[in-house]
Amino acid sequence: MNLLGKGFADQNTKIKGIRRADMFTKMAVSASNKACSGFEFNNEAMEISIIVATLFGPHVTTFKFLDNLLDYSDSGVSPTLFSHSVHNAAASYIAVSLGIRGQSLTITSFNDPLKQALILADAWLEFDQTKKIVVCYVDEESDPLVSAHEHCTFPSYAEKMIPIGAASILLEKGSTMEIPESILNPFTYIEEL
Amino acid sequence: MNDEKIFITGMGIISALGNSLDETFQALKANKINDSKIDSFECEIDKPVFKANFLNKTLNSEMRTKQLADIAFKQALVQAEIIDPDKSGFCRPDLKNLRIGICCGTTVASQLNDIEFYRQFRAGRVKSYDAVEHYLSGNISQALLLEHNFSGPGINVVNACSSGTDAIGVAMAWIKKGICDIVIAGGADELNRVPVAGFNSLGILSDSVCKPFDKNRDGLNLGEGAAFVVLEKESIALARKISTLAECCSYATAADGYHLTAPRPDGQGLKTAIKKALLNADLSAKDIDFINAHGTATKNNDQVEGLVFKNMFAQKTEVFSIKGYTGHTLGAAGAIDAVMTILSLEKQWLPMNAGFSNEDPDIALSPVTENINFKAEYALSTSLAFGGKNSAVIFRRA
Amino acid sequence: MSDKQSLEQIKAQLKEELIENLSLEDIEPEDIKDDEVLFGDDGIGLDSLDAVEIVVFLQRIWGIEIQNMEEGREILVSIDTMANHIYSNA
Repeated sequence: MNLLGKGFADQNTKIKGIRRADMFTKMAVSASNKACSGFEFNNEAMEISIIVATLFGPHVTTFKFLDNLLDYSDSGVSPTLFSHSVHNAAASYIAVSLGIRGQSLTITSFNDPLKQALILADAWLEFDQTKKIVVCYVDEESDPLVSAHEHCTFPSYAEKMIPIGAASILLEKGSTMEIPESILNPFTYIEEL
Repeated sequence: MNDEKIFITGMGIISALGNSLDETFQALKANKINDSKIDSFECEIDKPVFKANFLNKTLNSEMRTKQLADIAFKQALVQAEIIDPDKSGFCRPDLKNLRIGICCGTTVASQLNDIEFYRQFRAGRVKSYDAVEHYLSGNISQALLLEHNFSGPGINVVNACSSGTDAIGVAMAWIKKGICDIVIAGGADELNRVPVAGFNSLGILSDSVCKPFDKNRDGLNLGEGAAFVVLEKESIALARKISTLAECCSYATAADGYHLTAPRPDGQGLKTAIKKALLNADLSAKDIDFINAHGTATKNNDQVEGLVFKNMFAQKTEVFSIKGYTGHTLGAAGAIDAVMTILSLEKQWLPMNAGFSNEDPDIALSPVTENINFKAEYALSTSLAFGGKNSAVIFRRA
Repeated sequence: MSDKQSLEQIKAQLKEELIENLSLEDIEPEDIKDDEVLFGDDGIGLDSLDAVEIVVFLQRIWGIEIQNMEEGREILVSIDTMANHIYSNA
């Protein structure tokens, strides 16, 4: 693959025009917009694709939804919070923001989700299923999850520092970029590309 | 790139229709609609749902979604002669040399949404982090990889309602790229208070049993279930001397780029996905003998799908939605549709579209209105998801 | 609410709730006219997701039940139509 652009966003991201979006989505959109800065996709919208990779998804929004459930019961919950707690909301916003209408996938893995996304991106490009692809890694922090990591005995997560924020890259078919054996920190990896 | 054909060599399914392929087929032949009430968790919302009925052997030590997945997954592995029904481990030693991956679609299992845990957390007195442990060990694909000692990779697709179909797409990419020899792809989701409350808040749950494509349809019913298919390239299937159930001809997907919860009214995203799938399979619309539709029974979804099908396909192309029998099983839906499509190709038979009585003049398309025997070679299965995702997969009779 | 709100109080609260619950950007309550059509491409341009969000907070705050979107379409037009409905039914 060839790298065409990259972008980053953190949990202080402010972005206009997507009023309902939660921070998870705002980070993903901001990083992806930066990665695609300088590119116009109007004439090739169907040929541009998105893969969003995450460990835990938009759990801040999930917990806000649970707040609604506990405070207002089942018929008082916010449909906006619900639809944003679905993991692929971020990919949907990226598609609208960038005018992308190609393939769109959101994946989760507790084991190197960015690498898995890159493997798929490489396959899609190789098989000409798409001409360019935005790959976005995004994860966020929440108090319940921080607490869970402190108390959890599940081996991988007691020690692991979860990388927080969003990092996006725009890729096309090519041979200058290899997929590494593993990606310990998506931000460092993308920074060094 | 591996240009070999990809075949389906095993399938497994659990839903309100039954706990196996045979139970599912028998229930469909009898047009059994096993709707029920929400009674397995506290919930104010009293609307019909479709529950799977199975013995909870592990008694809450695993998420229900994982338990559903286990049942369907094992069926698929047994049928594909990867494991024996009563023993652990591979049933043949040569399988150890094969690269076997898993891709599972889900929605509920991807979230840490345990209400009791969060209630305790808010109150500042968490008694147990078991819910978190279950969540972290319940990433379905990874848990199944470990349990079966497969080499991997293993990922979950979290594309909402098209996840099961998209998991098949991922499997095909892995096999074509030479990453895997065999992939078990599918989806699983449980009935859960979170999606029940969430979908209810969107105003798209029906108060009665759903009516896909019907003029008077007024929303979906939620359901639970799981389904998996085993995909492998032709040379592997031949070497293993395993029967093939169907060919998985192609997969395609396209984004609407339109809205978070409503599909593009002009159906362009769905048309694009279908056209790409046909192109990838070197087929035209007239080759498709039937369509397993997403058919959720919401006003919007069925309108968009119905109009696209009417526009793209000949009148002779039968259309069918399983959701009148299973409800909308979210992350499992695309996989259940795939299993149903392959079953229909195998049996050369379609059940009537449950819930349909009156054609909607705005769509002018009637799905299958009675059980039919037919000659079918190619079938298309479509899935549409929140966020404007449209996915299509084409199967060919073996 | 123990004392019944006046129509003006309802309108004022509705505007605050719209801005808060729908995360409307760069809009103050005084920017929303009472008779302005809220949905569609003009004005503040609310959409179908906003509509269901409004249905939920009308029920939560004022106990107003809107059974379906056909009914909703008649009520969720403007601040005036919503306030009048709340005033008559809360």
